[in-house]
Amino acid sequence: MKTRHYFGALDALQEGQFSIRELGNRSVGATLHQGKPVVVLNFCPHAGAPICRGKITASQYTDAAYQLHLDAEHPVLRCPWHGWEFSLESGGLHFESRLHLAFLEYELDGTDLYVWI
Amino acid sequence: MPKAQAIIDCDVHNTYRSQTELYPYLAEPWLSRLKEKGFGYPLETFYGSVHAKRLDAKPENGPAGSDYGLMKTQLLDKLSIDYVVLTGEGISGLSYMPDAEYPAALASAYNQYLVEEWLSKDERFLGSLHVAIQHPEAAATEIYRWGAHPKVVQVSIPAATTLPLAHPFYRPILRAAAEMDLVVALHFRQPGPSAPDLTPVGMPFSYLDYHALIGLPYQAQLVMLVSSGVFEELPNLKIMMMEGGFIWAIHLMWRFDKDYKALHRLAPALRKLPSEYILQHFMFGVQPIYEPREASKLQEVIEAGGLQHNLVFGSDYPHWDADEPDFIRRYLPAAWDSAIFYDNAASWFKSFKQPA
Repeated sequence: MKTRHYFGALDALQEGQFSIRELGNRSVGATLHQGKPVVVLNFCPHAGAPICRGKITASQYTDAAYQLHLDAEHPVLRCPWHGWEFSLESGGLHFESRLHLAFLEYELDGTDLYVWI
Repeated sequence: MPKAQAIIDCDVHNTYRSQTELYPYLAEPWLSRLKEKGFGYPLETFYGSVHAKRLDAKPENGPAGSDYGLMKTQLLDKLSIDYVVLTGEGISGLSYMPDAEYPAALASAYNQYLVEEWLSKDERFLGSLHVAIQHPEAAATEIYRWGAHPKVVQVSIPAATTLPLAHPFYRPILRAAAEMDLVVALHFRQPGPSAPDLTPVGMPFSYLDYHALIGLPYQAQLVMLVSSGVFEELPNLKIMMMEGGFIWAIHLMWRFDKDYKALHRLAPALRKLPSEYILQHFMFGVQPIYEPREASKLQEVIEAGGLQHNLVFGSDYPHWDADEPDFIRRYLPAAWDSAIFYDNAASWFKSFKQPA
């Protein structure tokens, strides 16, 4: 059964960087993307790295004319070990559909962020 | 709860916090040269789109691998590692420096630093000597100098060399290692100023190509070491190939045996099939582990070549592509746990042998 844990004040979260808390024996990371909280389990589904210690960075894509683009509007979380990049929006990898960031349920109570684990 | 499988980690990259830690072990004129000019060769040749080392492995006051406390927490204690073979880091490019005397002096300083500053810190630590292979006589001197140290188990050399390792030029290194019962561990290195081409078609375009092709120099070394007959000359010579993969060794055993049957006059020193030398004189690191979509396929391939007694575990901590034991276990059967994580390595390293 899930329980509700206090993560911290919403205004302490930063875009582009995870804050990490130990809650209910799990390590949890939270950041902001376009002003909204993104809350994930701090555990890479590939090999178990503390993924929230990785860098949030612009995604890279090639358009139909083979021009290379960096897209800061759709950032990825790059694992601190093997460098695998997970979409901060969908949680997915572009080359492996079986693995996914574990997003956690959260709620806002005024300016406070709570996480369900 | 059953006792956990004992583990020997054959590849952990320790390093110094800064080059100043080598100063006490270096004589003039090399000390002044190091102070004024540093090592004098680039450590990172290729641009990698990801970090070279695990981001969470960097201590506050130095590079990843330089802090014993963090290594103990993240590796030894977390993963219950029983023995760690320290394979070095920053020093590893000295075999690709164009001169001979300065890198030989640096290697000598590093080896003393390793023994005094690392091997004494933790009873689980074992050591790899570093040598400047472009100076075989000095390299052999280092091997004889430290080879009898109870915790020194191997000598580390680059996988790619300007001449085949089986060439007589390098024989003093191989002979010294065999005489002192040290394993010769091949590691790939980022190319320095006097490194050979890393592929037969020139330099890789990028770190991706380079990393995917790392096995190439290992294959060339393995074939010529066997055909040269050096294992008849030095029956105690043991070659550990780390980080270069191993599936290609099965290709070579089958291809090499077939070719040898017709062309045996070109390898007159051999007394048995090439594949028999390979299985007797080579071990291969399992990291970075192959990750086929169906994990069980890897076991089938290894069994096809009978390679399960020639594989050893090395985590490669703190490099970016390091593998923890449980991650490797996803791809290998539990029945091989003891062989791959302990027995195979223990059968080679002199520290694990009973006194005669």
